[in-house]
Amino acid sequence: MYSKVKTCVLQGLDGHIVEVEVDLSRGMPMFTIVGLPDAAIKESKERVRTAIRNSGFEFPLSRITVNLAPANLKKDGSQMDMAIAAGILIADGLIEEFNPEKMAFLGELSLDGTVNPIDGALAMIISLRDLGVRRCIIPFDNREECGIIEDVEVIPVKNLVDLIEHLNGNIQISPYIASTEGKESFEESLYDFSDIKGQDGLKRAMEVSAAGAHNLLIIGPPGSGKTMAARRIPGILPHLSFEESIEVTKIYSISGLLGKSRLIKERPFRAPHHSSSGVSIIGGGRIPKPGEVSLAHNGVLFFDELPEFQKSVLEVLRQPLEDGFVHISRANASLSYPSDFMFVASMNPCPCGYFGDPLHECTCNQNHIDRYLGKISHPLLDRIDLHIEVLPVKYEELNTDIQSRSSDEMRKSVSEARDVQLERFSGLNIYTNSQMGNKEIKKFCKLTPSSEKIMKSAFDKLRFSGRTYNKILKVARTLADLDGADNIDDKHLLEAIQYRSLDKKYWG
Amino acid sequence: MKSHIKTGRLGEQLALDYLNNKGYSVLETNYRNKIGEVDIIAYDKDILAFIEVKTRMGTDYGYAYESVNSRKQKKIANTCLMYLQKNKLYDVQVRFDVIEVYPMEKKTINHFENAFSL
Repeated sequence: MYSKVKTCVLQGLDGHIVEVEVDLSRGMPMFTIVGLPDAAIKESKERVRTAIRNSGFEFPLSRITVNLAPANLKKDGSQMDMAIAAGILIADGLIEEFNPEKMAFLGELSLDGTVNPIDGALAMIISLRDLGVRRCIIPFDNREECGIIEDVEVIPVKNLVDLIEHLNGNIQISPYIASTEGKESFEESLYDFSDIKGQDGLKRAMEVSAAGAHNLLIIGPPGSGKTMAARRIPGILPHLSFEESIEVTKIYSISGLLGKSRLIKERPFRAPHHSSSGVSIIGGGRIPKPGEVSLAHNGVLFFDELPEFQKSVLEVLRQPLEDGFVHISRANASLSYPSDFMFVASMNPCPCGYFGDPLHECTCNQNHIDRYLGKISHPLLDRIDLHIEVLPVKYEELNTDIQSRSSDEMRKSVSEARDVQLERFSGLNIYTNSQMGNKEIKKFCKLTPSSEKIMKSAFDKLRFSGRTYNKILKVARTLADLDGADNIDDKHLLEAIQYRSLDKKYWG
Repeated sequence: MKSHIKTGRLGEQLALDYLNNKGYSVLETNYRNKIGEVDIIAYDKDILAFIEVKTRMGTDYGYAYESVNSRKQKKIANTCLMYLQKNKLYDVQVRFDVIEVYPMEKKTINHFENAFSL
């Protein structure tokens, strides 16, 4: 009258094995769950009871005690229904000859016995695999994301009857294996860089930033193509590698944003509105959930109209921009989420938008402009590698038939530069130039004597910070990679410095 | 005798007949201790059933079983716990049933096995 089965509970991206012990004993009919369950698990009592009854089985009439071990770990989520139901059925003798070793149960039950999909299934499967689980019962609708993990047999079940019949050996459900091969070619995107006429400087900056995953700030008057260009960045980024895909898919899976899709292959592009709160950007909640910085992991986080964001929201970006992860602490849990993203921001140079525009007159007074630009602090600017100013397009450029550089061409040079980087950093656990630490910068960004001289005079004249110095070296490295050059040349360094001269113009 | 007590007695008698027919062995009727009262205590094979009988002359005021609300359930459960303790029944499977009786021209008896649990 006793049984023990395994399931999983997530803390952030890490899963822990939870052993569900069920004991049926005689006495007053009762159903109690102990072991720090949260509301969703306490409610699973009713779901399990009804699901078992509506699947055509009898709910055992006895004193049922369910223990979730380890008892000191707080458990949340609805994935425990299946393990509790299976435990009760095994203890009641409805499932015979069953070996629960190395096997885990995940899934939420609905009242009619159907198994509903759960959030975070992929993250759980990966953790369970690392903890030695070799077979796992999962909801049918989660099969695409779970099937990509090798070494674990995932058995998708549609309802409780299927589960019992499968465990009793009456029907065979074969492990689901999702094909990881998808379409490698890019679908015809609605957005192509060839739509943008003129603005070669902007496109060059975007290419550089995509090639090295550098952060980018675009300043310009309204209608100059800032947002239009930013929307086209995902189209020139290379596909995610398998490891990166897993990282991204895990985050989307626990956020419940995966839907029916399997592995996410395209780099995420997140563009939160400027009314977003700090918590929605960084992540949070009673049990912290990932925010926009984590959802943009390995992809692009785009802030349109940067100064319109609340100042406090902008400042929370400082730490994730530097570290590549965020650590969120709440009373109930303290969790880390990865947040290695490429930050792209666009803004107007003043509240009316026309400051410095050759065609329009700016109506702002200096006070207004100062206050507007003052919303963006130097520490934040310092963390943005490339600053670029765009000017309005000219009529001749708009009306020309000359094909401008298309996304395809740009993607080609970007992927070539990325391949160089991947090769250079193989074994170092970094993928792009922007992720280089001090050691790597010293090793891979050597300057020639003449470049040293340029750097010194620029450093003195533009009063760079230590961080800016490093960022310039990284950007110069990317420019050299785009050129196919082994060493950083004067022209690469000069271009990199030029991308950092703008903050002196506006923020002096 | 007041009419509603008469109705109740009638219903309990009908329920007893029904249970005897079904093969239950009745231990007690109208068991009473200091906590409360249980209408029928009977063995259904090896399960000890505590049965609350509700009798109504019609459904104008709702179904009879509806009147066994959570307060009444708790009271029955506590009465039963005391019964089990007094009779030293420590290792027995227990069940709570509700029987509703409509003793009109067309007699209806509905038996809800395992109607509630703790």
